[in-house]
Amino acid sequence: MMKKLIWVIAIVCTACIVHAQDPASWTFTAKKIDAKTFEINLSATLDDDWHLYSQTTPDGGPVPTSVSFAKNPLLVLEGKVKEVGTMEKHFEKLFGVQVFQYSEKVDFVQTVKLKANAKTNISGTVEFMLCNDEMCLPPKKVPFNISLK
Amino acid sequence: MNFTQNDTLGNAVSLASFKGKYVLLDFWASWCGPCRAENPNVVKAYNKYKDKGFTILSVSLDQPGKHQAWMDAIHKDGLTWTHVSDLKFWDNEVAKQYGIRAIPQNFLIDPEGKIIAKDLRGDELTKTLSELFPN
Repeated sequence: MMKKLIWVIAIVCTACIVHAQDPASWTFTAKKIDAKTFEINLSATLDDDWHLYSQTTPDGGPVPTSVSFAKNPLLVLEGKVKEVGTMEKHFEKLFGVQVFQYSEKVDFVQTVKLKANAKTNISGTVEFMLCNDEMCLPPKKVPFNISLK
Repeated sequence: MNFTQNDTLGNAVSLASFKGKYVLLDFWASWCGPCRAENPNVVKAYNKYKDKGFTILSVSLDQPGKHQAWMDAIHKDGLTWTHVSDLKFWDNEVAKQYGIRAIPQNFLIDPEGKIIAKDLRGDELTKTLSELFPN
């Protein structure tokens, strides 16, 4: 009986550890530029040795990060999502392709304009894959909802 | 846990058909840097023990439409054993069955079909095999 209980605890705790394995944390903010313009900042902070990949990392390597915004008739997206951080470009001999990656911290920045003076939110998801030297994790989708005021 | 998935030529391969041998069930993908970096170790182990009752069955988490990338990686890394995939990326049915949440990942299965070790990386693989095949 006791043995069984110890096993149950062991299994449950293994599940906790696996669940807690999340080497990226995100913060989502908006900065007001002028009355109708905002800068949306999706900011990733990575644990040591983990990498997240640029939206522009070439095909054939790890999965690029992608950002999608929910349709909002009150908003216009200005240009594309910019990446602010230190992009590391290296030629991956094993794949024969260039890999564009970030370590430690990267911000995905989108400028949005309000069509009229109104309070609204911008929502969407950011999807990304993480690898370190030991392993790659499945892509993850993280939703965001940022109020513009 | 038995499964059947297609090899690179589209022929169905089942894990059960490897009964009687020690099998390394290896999960990887052509796009996965750490997996590719691990491959030389796996090749070394395969070459050393392939005639002693050991073999490898690799399951690839390559993406839909990436058959060529999968093939290219097999050839480039010299992985001369059996390979299967459904090209469904992380939704690979076998990966789901084995609860794979990170790659590379492997399981060593004994001749009766029982998992006797997992996640043998680097020297651990050759060390474990050298204990199973002392001569």
